[in-house]
Amino acid sequence: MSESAVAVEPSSFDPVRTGFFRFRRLGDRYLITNDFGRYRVLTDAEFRAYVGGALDRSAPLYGTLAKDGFIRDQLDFEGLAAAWRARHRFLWSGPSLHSIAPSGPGRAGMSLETAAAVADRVFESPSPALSIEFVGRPLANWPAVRLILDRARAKAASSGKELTLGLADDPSRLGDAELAALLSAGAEFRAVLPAAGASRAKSLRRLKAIAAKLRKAAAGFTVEAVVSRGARAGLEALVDECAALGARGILLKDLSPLERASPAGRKAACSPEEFLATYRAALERVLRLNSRRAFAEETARAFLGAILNEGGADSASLRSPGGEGLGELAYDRDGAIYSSVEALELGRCGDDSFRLADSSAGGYRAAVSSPSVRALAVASCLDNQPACASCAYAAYHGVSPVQSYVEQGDILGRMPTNTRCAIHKGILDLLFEKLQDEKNEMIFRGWLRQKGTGRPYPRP
Amino acid sequence: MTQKAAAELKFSLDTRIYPLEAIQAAAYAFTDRAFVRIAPEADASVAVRFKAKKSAKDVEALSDAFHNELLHESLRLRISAANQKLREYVVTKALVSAQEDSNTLPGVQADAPAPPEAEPSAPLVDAALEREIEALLAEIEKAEPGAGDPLGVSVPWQVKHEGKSAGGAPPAKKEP
Repeated sequence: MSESAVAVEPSSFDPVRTGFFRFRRLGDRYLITNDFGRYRVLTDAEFRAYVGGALDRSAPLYGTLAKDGFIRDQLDFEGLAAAWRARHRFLWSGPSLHSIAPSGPGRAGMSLETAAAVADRVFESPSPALSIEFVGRPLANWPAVRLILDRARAKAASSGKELTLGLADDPSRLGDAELAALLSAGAEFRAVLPAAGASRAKSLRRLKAIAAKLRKAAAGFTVEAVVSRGARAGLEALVDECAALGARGILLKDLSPLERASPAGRKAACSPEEFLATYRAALERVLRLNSRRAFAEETARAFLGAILNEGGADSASLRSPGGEGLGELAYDRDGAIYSSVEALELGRCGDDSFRLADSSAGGYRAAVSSPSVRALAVASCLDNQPACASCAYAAYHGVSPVQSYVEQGDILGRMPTNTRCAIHKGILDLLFEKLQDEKNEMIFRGWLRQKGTGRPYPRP
Repeated sequence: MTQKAAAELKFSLDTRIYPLEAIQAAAYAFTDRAFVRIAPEADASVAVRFKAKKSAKDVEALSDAFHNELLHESLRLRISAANQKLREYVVTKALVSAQEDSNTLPGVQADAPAPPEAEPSAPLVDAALEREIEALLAEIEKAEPGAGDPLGVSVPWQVKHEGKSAGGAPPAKKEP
């Protein structure tokens, strides 16, 4: 944002012609957005004319803004209500993303009895489309994973629900038998690479070995890498390597607030500025690679879904109210149901604030009816957040009360000093900058059309 | 009038020019870079104390940016106030129409009221629109005996679809 830019006088606002919009400086231009996810980047002169109701009514810009609900005396109520409804369809569907952590460090894994109960609870969700994602070293408890895969597929066939399956783990733990079973079940593999060092090299070697089999089976796979201080230097080379292996994309992640809280995490974590500088270089590398073949950055793809799709965000974390408990649930190895993976990890640290219910008692109804889910819904409604309610990115973003609770001790959070907010705002600034180039927009739209991407995106 | 002391600035703001809500919003937006204190002063005036978190050199530049932000927050307030009723109408209409389609609640009338004409000459939405919104909200309340779960999200799949085919699923669709 240009601090030296001359601000627009509030008295110039025309309350008759100018409809509701949020705005943000993008370099020397203004980004305007509205409740329906529509956006436009205006020059300074266009912005001032728009605010003051002085746009030329015969100009194409006026027609575009009117069509998109920015002109107050030209509102198409039917169309805009339908657009709002399409972007908030998740309100009627219940949790669609179900993350299951069947194993954990140093303790017993999920029993087969609990695994069966968890699969049953997943299918109690009223959502017509379900996504099951195995997380947290799931390959360490393959029998439970296998049982859930089989049971879920059988239940999907009998209920008529759409089911997508995914498993995220270190490729060095993926044996040939497990790989064959995942392919047979149609589950997508996300290769989680260790931060750096010898263990990353070992994981990459194994990924190379299995990539050929995945390509042969025409099975898409993605790679997940954490952007830590130690891993920044080699990130662009990693992007090249993953693209060369035939991955569909790479997910570049910051450390979670819980990871940042540990002594090792404090040393390894990038500041938001460091992360964003690294992310920009990596995204530009990804865009260059797209001249040869489609290869996406998955965090960007999640945001782009929210920006470019009429139906809004697939990622539960980019919604208002947020997805924790409403759009996603997470199941621990003992059958405990949490509002999200972060809530589950917090529970493993001894804080069960977001433990909602148990798979064997109460199940789905108890989970989504719990007071914690109500609190999460209120805290994640952007209209209740002083900085978010007027943020230009409100239609494309959501807050994470659990992450705010971990980082700032408060589920409502304080966005001006919130790490997740700073990083996500920076990514959105970058994406809207890149969207100004039509070639980039074509590439981005191509990512959203990729096969095998009909599942809720990984959490940004 | 501005008094300078070390890394701190103090200035007065006229609340007839900058609404208090805009002052508070601008101050909140700067809490990553500065400590901001707002205190009542004379009539229609508040005192703002501004202290940079990092460097004393930053405080002048921050103060300039803060005044720009004040203008933008004031503009946001005006935009919000002028369009609040229209936004409420669109959202209420979307909620009512979704309930009609999903048929998850009894008692919702199929024909929602027609949209009001936006009055080009009126700066704020008129009383007719306000009545319209209240009628829509009353419909939602009337339609929901349980009140706690108006969208039926907590009702398990098996209960909701007992005796129905999978085609009776809620209207939500996944992206292709």
